[in-house]
Amino acid sequence: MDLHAFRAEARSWLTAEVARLRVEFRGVPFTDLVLRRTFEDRLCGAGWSGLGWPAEVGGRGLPIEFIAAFLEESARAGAPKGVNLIGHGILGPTLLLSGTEEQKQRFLPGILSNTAVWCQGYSEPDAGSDLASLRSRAERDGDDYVVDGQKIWTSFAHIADWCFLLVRTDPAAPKHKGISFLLVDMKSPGITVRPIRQMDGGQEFNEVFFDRVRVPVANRVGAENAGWGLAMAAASFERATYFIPRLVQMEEELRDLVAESREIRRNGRPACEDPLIRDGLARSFLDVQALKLHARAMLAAAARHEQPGPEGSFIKLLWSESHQRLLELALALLGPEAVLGPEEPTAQRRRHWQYDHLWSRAETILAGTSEIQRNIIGERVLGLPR
Amino acid sequence: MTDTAELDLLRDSVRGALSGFPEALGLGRGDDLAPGAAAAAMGIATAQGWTAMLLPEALGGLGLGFRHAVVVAEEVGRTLTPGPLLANAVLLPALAVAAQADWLNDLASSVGAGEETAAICFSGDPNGAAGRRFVEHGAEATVIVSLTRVGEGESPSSLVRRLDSPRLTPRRCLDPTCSLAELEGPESVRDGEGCRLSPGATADVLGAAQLWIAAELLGVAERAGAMSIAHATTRRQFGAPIGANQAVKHRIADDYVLRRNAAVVLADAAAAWDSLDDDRLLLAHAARASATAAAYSATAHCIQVHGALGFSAESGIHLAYKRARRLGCAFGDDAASRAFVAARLVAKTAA
Ligand SMILES: Cc1cc2nc3c(=O)[nH]c(=O)nc-3n(C[C@H](O)[C@H](O)[C@H](O)COP(=O)(O)OP(=O)(O)OC[C@H]3O[C@@H](n4cnc5c(N)ncnc54)[C@H](O)[C@@H]3O)c2cc1C
Repeated sequence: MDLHAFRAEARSWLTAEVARLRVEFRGVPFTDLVLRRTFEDRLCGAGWSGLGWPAEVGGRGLPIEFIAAFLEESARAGAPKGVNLIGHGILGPTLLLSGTEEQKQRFLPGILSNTAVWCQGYSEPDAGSDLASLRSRAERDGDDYVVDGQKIWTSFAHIADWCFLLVRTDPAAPKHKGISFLLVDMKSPGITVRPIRQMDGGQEFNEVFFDRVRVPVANRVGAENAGWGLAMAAASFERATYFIPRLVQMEEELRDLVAESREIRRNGRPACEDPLIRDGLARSFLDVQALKLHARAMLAAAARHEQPGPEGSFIKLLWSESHQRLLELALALLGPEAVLGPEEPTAQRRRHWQYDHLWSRAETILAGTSEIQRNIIGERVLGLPR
Repeated sequence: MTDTAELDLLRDSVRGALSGFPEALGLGRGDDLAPGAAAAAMGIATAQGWTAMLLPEALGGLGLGFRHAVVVAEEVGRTLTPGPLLANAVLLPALAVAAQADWLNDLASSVGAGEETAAICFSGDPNGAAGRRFVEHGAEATVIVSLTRVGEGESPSSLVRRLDSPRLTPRRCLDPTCSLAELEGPESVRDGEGCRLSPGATADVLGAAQLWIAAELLGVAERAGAMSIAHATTRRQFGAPIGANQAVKHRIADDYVLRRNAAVVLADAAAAWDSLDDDRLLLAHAARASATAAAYSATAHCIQVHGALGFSAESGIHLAYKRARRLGCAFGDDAASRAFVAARLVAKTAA
């Protein structure tokens, strides 16, 4: 299939569907979970899921450039983010690589059709950056594991059908060596989910409690006590495409910010004439430009099936921190209007800057904090002493 | 009694009076500000004499100065106490002194005595998005006063007016500790209750606002800094407290230095204000810029140090961040204050 034709088809589908969504959900913000689920269901129904998965399991077997093109077009069309990105981007590829035939047949169709939403049960109250210190236990009892413990910050657990869980199966082993990877039905008796409110006004993450929850041994992916390796591999699947929609979004935000700066007045003149604002806009441009080039290089390397280079660790750092700077500038530009909360509709503005600003505070925390990224760059990329 | 001993005593008494906050905000689970929290805070403020603190004795006030006021403001910020204190304890007395108009004197005295509660809508801010006008705690106020800048240059004059049945629409504020309203439609002024302030008088009123805002921001920064230190000391990852990592430790140390800078610059500015020093406006704006830097940094790092806990609304850590942001864009901003300082510096060398 031709990439240009594919891109054009994706664009026209996305543009039409985003327009339809705006009509059907008039006034509802694109962060709304029902809206997001609806859109993701349609996307999957129209055959836009499993783009890179092999045809045998119902995928389209397309090369990575196609996936990148689809993600780019989604972001350009302003499509809402899915609620099952974890299923499509992390669990699906993990099963393709390490699942049994039975597991693939059982779980992949639900992801492709979006009828099964997944959540990622890794973090615990005492195991964040130091994930390998996790303590949730799974003990063998016949053909089942019995799981006891607690997960926290589990995004979408309150709407998820399934959870992939890291649990300790050998407390005596060194901490990375006693962990297993289990697939848990969220309807199992003994699971309690408590939603946690977020500072951006949203409610996506949760606490999840496991009280003697029975999980069939057949739901373990990989060997017993081999879960850490699976989790690390899972984190790298998306690496080549993870930043593509995020960078497109950032590029669009910068464009919108420049447009706002022509309309908003500062010191009696259009803000775009203020040297301070101009300097901030230029700095954001430099960040976006460098990020785009890094991301492009990473994608090209992945397309050539090369081992990933060091870009992954510094793109996360540069993206999350420069995104915060851009949204810092947005609040400065808004002036007194910045005082409006993230719940307020902002019809006059191109974006919901306050909401985006608040959300950006999570980006230096999730998926490896900035401090951890710097440790990785210093130690693994540059070889500095530990 | 020495000056510092007197201020320490005042600080202790303010702490005691505000010891119910921030718990009394009712924001523990990320909900809405408890109804009556702002009114309760204003009740405390009146009982403690804070609304009369800066009011001249001739108007029934205590005639104290900013050396005292910034102590109160810092504690208000540190405890996230709600309510229109800036409007009632600072701006009305400043407006009364600046305008010398009977209606403002009467209003300032009734506010000082706790008979009325005012909210002040400041607009025409040259740093702002055009058009929209917001009033902190507008819905709870018995009186709405508008202060409008006239002219865009470095020394604008202004209009101060008491509004007649203003149209206020409630809005959600970025800062959950503050209620917000938007003033819409053309304003109608109460008969005879409006006057014009000269550029000098306008600068004095705005300068007073900078000092209060700087002190509140410093208090917010102190709160965030203390929370970061506590968490970095107790939270363990990789077998050690996270504060043992220099990435965490150095940042907390840098923020401490920023706060100490802001604190001395603020104390000096408050003293300069009270002694009618020639540089008082420059110093007030310097204090605001300095305190904003300290508060933005400490509150952002407080979220980062707490990890996902910092991003949750239940921890209350976000409240300091959001309060800093709300204060940061009220009556100007740090960039405007730095521009003011620069303009004064340049003017002084020319003179
Ligand atoms: C919006 C959001 C969604 C999330 N969704 C999920 C999810 O779906 N599933 C899931 O399992 N988890 C999820 N998480 C949790 C996320 O993975 C953790 O927040 C992250 O791993 C950090 O852990 P922590 O929050 O416990 O912070 P901590 O690890 O306690 O870190 C606190 C601070 O200490 C610093 N620090 C820690 N160790 C070091 C060190 N060695 N050197 C220097 N600094 C250090 C950190 O950088 C941070 O600033 C989510 C988080 C957020 C914010």
